[in-house]
Amino acid sequence: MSSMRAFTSMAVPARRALLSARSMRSIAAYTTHAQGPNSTPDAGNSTTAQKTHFGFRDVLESEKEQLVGKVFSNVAEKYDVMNDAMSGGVHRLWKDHFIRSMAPGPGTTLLDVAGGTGDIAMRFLDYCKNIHNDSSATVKLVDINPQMLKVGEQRFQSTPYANTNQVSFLVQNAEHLDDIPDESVDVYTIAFGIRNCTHVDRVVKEAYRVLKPGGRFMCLEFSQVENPVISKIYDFYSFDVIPALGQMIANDRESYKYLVESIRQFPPQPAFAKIIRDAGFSTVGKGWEDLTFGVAAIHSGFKI
Amino acid sequence: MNRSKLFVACSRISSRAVLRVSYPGSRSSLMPRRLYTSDSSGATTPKSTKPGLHPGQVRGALSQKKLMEAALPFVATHGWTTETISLGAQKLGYPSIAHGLFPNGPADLIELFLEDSRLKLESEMERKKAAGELDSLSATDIVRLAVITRLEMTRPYIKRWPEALAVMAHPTNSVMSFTQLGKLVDDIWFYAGDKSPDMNWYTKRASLAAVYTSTELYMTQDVSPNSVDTLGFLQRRLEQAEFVGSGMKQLGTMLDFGARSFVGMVASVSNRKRLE
Repeated sequence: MSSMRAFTSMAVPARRALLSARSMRSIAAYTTHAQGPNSTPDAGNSTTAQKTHFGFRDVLESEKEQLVGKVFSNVAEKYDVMNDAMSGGVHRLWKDHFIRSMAPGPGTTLLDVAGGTGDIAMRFLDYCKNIHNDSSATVKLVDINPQMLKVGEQRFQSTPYANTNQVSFLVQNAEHLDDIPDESVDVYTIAFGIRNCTHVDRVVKEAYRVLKPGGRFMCLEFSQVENPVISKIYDFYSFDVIPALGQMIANDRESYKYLVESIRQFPPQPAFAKIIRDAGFSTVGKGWEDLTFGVAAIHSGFKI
Repeated sequence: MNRSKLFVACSRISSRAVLRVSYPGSRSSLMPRRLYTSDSSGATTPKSTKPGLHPGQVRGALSQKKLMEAALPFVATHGWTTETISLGAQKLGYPSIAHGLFPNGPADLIELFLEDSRLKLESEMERKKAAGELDSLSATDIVRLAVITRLEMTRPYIKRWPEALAVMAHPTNSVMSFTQLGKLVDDIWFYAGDKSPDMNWYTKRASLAAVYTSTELYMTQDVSPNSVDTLGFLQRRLEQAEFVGSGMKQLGTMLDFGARSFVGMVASVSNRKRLE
């Protein structure tokens, strides 16, 4: 895309200015009432032609779901390999830490939204087995994308959890989890998924609905790097290295360009923590924990 | 670590500065660091405890304090662990996962317990003061009374207390441990009527901290009925410390105590194998 090429060839200060201007705007674009309190937009109904963003492009809200769907259908097969290549394996450490800080007890029920290839679900079940020798913990693995879910299902086939009632798979939209009853799960996790949803606030509200009282909402997501030195290196890596890696490994430059752009568009930590509190959750302390200088962050909310 | 330095620096500067300005010790000016917000009623309850819970729109039934109170009965069987917090949550009818309200796990549970006990001691001493029970006592007697009252609160968990000490001795928790100890001895000296504006301010607090920690440590190994040996130990330490002596002498005593109790603590903790 030529606009993107123009962006990457921009002088660094100009690029940073554009980035910060976009991140100012992005919080509004991610939440439902961006157009004012009177609009009651319905997903899929774009009579008011509301815009949201898809990476650095502006698209109609109704289009975004489809576009994201296309990205993930494209990358599903290579998703895990690419994660390792892009992060140098660090995403594994983040996910391990994520489960360790959750520290589920025996019999915990987890709803893993945007669970995709099952990284979180697998670690969760492993934790329960290794720490508590427990086989009563269960996971519902939910993803909007059938291709991603299929990769996850195949992966579980070669584990001890296959054909047990410990894990189940469901195609669901995180914004309306129609098949998940109210107050039915102990923990809700969404790892590297909420960024791709059109209305983040609706996703968090839906999480609030399905959690039992005392339950915990946990979100692992790319975030904003505050340290100026690290953030320069990070920008270079994101905009110049990752799309090239995507080209080489998955033969799909565009999808990975979307990925890094969508990270920049996601609300910074304090804004996202506010969305979580606005949905009704209580947060402890500031409400999140930065990982690797803020490249990723774990946000938490409690339904109490 | 920065926080601890800052804390020490702030507390010293502020107390000394205020002492110079308004010596005749109204309690608020004497101890500006502490907030005696509800002192008139005497029944102080922690309004919010660190690490603070940021409430969302919905104010629920579960607070960190409630979770702590529900978890404490499990300390005797499960120690100062995340499991204990989980059991507490389950007892309240919440999923075990609610232990995440204490992001630092056992360290947060211990901190809340220390803070809660300190506030309980404060209201207890306040009650005694109002009833005139402290009038006829010397400063050392009041110190002894306060230390005994405080140790009574640790007694139900004393067999598991070395585990808590091990958690508190961990470098990442040292700020919390020293802050809590500092607040406790400061409180006790306040009720003992200490108004020293000089070096004694430090030496008194340091030597009382040494007396308190060594007595607490002694108590963990005390098998005598009603901990009478601990009371004897405390009595001997208080006599040795001679709080009303000269500053430099106390500094020596304090260092001696500090070294001994540190060695004792390390020895005791390394004897415990069940710890992580």
